[in-house]
Amino acid sequence: MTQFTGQIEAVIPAIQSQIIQESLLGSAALARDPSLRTRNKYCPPNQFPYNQTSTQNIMIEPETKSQEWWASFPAVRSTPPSISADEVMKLFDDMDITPTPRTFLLVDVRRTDWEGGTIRTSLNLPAQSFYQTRKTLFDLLERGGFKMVIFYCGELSFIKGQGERTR
Amino acid sequence: MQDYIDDVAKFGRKSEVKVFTLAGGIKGWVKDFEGALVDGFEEKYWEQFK
Repeated sequence: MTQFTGQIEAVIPAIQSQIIQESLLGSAALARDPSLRTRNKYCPPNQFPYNQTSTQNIMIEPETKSQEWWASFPAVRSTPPSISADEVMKLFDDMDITPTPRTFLLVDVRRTDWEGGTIRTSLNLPAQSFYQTRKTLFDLLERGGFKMVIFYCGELSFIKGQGERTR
Repeated sequence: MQDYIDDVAKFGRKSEVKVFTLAGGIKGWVKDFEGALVDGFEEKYWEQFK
């Protein structure tokens, strides 16, 4: 116990000196000389909102670019065929007159799941998290004997948006 | 999904699973069949797209 206490006591002054140094220097000093900030391990310099191109050394907000959520995922390469609503309706009709389990799976990829309703038997797998889910889904489809997986979102067009990300 | 299936196929994993997209999405479905086979169908919600 005393050993631990000793260690903690050794650490506290280090943290305190960090805090004191910072409060003595003040944010104005840090703004003038961002290299001061590099001494502070609790705030890496690359997170310091300092505009190096400015002659006035003013504090600025970190640049925040609004990116589409799919920007961090690999680009989609394939373009699977589409299936018409009539064809899917026929699959439902056949489902009731065949002795084998259903072989098609509908996947609703809307994030606001079930908004206004969802096509019967669908799973909701939001496109935003689908990249992480795809391997598990593939395993389940194969083991479950599924032959078709049909993705849909809310839009009339699959050209842009979340539907595209699940192809 | 198809990209992933294509990728694993390169390593010899053949699958019978075919990937499709529903033409028109759920809006197209509701346009064609209204609430048929739609669980939790909310007619009011779809009126805005008419």
